[in-house]
Amino acid sequence: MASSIFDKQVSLRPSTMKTVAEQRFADAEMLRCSKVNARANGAAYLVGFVVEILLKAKLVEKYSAIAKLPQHAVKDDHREIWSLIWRRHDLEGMLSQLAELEAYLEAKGQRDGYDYVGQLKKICATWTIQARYSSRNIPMSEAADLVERVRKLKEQLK
Amino acid sequence: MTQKQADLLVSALKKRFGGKTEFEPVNTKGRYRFAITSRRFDAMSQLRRQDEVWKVVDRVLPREAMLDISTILAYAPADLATVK
Repeated sequence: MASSIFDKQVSLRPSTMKTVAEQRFADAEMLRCSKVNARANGAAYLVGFVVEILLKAKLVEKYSAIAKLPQHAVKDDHREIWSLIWRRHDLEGMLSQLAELEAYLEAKGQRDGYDYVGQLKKICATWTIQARYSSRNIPMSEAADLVERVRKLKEQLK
Repeated sequence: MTQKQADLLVSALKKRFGGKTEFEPVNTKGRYRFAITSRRFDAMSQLRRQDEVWKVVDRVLPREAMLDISTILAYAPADLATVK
């Protein structure tokens, strides 16, 4: 039987997640290039999703044993991590579990003269999965700003 | 970040944006989460709000303390009014 995008994911591989993040970024870029305001929400939603996938990939790399567990086998101490990987879309929560990523971004930012940590925290505070339910519309200029920030950031999150 | 630095940031945010600023510890290692509600965010995009808020952070806190900020949520009152 041909596989479907709707097949339930039973394992997550960081390398695959990074590829998927690039694909969703390309989707967002396509919407941004349309320059149609009505497509701006879609671009903004997708580009935040790119950050979510890349942060989850980092969690899966760091906590690979926990990520492989079925829900019923997860110990209480590991429930937060497992939930961030498999259930939640909480960018702030994910970043809080990745102190070494923050340290890397800070050092890299000092070398490059670009505040990767600050930009990531701004995006984590801005984007929410709830955006998919919003009936408000943002202008494409705002979505484009978000796309450009994620373009720089994603290279450091791979 | 020390409690004193968190208080200092709250004062600076209050001075810049008015409204109400709250904060809470995220862990026991001095990491904090802040939330500001201000009318000055009414006509600002979410990213612009973040840019403005983090300018204040850069001005009042040393870099090491800035890294202890988990997030700063910036709401206009109308954002919260729509939460049902």
